[in-house]
Amino acid sequence: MAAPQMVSAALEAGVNKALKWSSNSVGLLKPLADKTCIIYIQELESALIFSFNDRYISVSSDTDSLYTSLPDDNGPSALYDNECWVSISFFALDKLKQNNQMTKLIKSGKLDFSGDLGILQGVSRLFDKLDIDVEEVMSAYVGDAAAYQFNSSGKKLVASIGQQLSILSVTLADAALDEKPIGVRPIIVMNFNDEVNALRADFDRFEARLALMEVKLKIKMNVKQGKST
Amino acid sequence: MSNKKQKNTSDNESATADFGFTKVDKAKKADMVADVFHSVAAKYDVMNDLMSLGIHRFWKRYTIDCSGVRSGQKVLDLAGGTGDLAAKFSKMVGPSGEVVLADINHSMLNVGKEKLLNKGIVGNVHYVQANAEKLPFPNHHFDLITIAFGLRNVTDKSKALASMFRVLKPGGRLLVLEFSKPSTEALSKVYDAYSFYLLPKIGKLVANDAESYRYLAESIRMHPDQDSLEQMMKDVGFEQTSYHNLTGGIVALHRGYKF
Repeated sequence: MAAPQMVSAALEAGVNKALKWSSNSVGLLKPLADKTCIIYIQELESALIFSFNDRYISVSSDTDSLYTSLPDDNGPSALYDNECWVSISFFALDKLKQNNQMTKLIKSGKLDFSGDLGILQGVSRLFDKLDIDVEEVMSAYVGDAAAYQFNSSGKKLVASIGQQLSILSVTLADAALDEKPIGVRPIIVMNFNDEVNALRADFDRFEARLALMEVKLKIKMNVKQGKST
Repeated sequence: MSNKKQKNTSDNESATADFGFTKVDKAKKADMVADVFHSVAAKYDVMNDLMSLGIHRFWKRYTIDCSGVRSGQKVLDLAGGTGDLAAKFSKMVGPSGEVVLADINHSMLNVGKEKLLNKGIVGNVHYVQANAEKLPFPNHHFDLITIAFGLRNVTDKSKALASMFRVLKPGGRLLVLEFSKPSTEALSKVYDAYSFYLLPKIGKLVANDAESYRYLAESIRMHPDQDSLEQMMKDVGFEQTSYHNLTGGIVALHRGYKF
């Protein structure tokens, strides 16, 4: 019993915390007020129901399994005007944030959809545009100075990790290409391709010449046979 | 038919009712139950968390997930106490919907009202002091009725269920979340030990009221088991009835529809 309820409770708490911390959540939630988005996660074979109001998002699980397939217009899962249903892979969930990808996802069959597309676009916009100022949020708990210190240290740490990772990737690439040649540089691949192309051209020319010689030989043979008869 | 079933079906005719393990005059039970809840109202939420180790939140969330409530619908949270379910339903039905938080006990209702107001839940929630046996609402009015941990305190359960059936819209559903009978003997023994020895002590320690919590434990034992309650729902007209045991049957969620 508890697993879906734990998931929906944790999700609801997390999402609403993020809304609280975001400076622009009110404006983003307004168009979604009184609307519902049902998201069916294909791998989990279960749907989560997001009900929006102007300040809060309620998340509940679909205990009756009403939304496991495209909603039936005449059945209990029939959608109201203010509802939409989406079926999507867990691994494509982050793509929901990209509003311009929506039609592409639907066309490529990665997203099954029914209902009001405006709701889905609103949800996408909400999660894409949420603006959370981490420093501002932290200052309420630990004070301005500590929040600033933590934030700037965090930024430095992230930058430093990024730099180290890029150095590491260059070192590994060099090692793989030069010291332990288990890979090749692009220029070597291009040279190799050029050599193969040249060889293919030589071969084609040689083949054409052979064919020509064959034809000439056949003609000569025919002429000889004609004289002897 | 089991003894318990006989006892329940004869609720209407007998002049006495169960108040925990004791038999009391039917007319007095409501007042006695009211006294218990006047006494525990202030600490009700704290005690719920303590007694259930917070699991009651998942029981209630499961109930909400089973409600199928949608925007614009009308919900009656009966014996709604401190408004846990009503708060959630209020957000789900939105401004075009309506939630009625009803409780027979004004102390509980006041605590619930204050809690919801403090959470900023206003506009679509109404508070009504009402007896579940005689609901003051028109016929076919609500899309959903929930009664969580309240039915066992009602004097005449069949009458209350019939009253709920009356105010439900055709197609509407009733959800009864209530303590029930543990599904295994071992769990039953542990549960008994907990509720008759530990629970009154926690009640004494936190709410300084061991007697009220002893009543709560006794009333749970006297409440109809899963099958009996389902039968009672059928008897008053509910269809497609079913129940789902939670936490090994310590609690059960009963569901029934009016068609």
